[in-house]
Amino acid sequence: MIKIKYILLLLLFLTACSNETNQMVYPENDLPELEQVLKSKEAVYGYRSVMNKDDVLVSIDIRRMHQFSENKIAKNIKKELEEKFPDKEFLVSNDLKLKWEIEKIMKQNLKNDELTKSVDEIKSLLKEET
Amino acid sequence: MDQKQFDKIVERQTPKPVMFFSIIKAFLIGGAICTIGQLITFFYIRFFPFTERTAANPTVATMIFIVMILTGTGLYKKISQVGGAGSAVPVTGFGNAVVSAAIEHKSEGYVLGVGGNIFKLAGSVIVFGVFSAFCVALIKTILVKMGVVSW
Repeated sequence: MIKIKYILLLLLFLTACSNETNQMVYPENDLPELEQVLKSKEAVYGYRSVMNKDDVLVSIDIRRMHQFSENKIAKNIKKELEEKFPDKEFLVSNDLKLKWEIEKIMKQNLKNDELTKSVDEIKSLLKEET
Repeated sequence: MDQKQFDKIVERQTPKPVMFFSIIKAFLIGGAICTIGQLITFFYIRFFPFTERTAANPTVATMIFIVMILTGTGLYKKISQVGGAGSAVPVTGFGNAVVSAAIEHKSEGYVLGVGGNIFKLAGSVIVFGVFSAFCVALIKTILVKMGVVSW
């Protein structure tokens, strides 16, 4: 009986709940090709994107087993997007901070100056190494 | 009574360690410490300007600060009695080793007592940590030069 209890406990600890996938672009329907590129990637199951003038921030959710090569995947996506849109500057990352900041921008519906300010802030944050 | 007989009696009298339960306990305590660390990381990412990459440093500092208080009040000793290696392997075990050595040698003075003995237990961690980091960096450099992996 005790053993069964432990096995059940282990099962409970080892199985995780899965989140709903989220695929959002802000402002909506601005870059339909961006969504096509991201949807074609097998390793990516969710994405959020914010566009402000020439800056495009893309936060991607990478599948568990692909996370070993997360930097490589983000780099490849960035390269592909830059080839498609040479006039825009992309920032692709799977960092949680980027995801949460983009969600915040979407929730608060930031526009113009405020949007520029927060996009610049995020960009400088993600460049930091230490 | 010769040595063999004595050893037999000692063996009979010593309680056998329950491996399975020790492992489960170490897993649970170690897991709990790591969960707290992860929650602190999320806290720093959410409410402060830290990214996943930069949030590790303040998290380690906070964990060591918490352990410093727990060691001073004697609570960490109780946790490590239950958790064993689960409480020694995370960075909290390192913090505990530093702080407990400092407390132990406080009576010998601040310079020769605390200053001279603070890394008595944790010194080996630093030495072998630096050495193994050097070895790993060497292996990675060779692999990058060979083109197997990228930075």
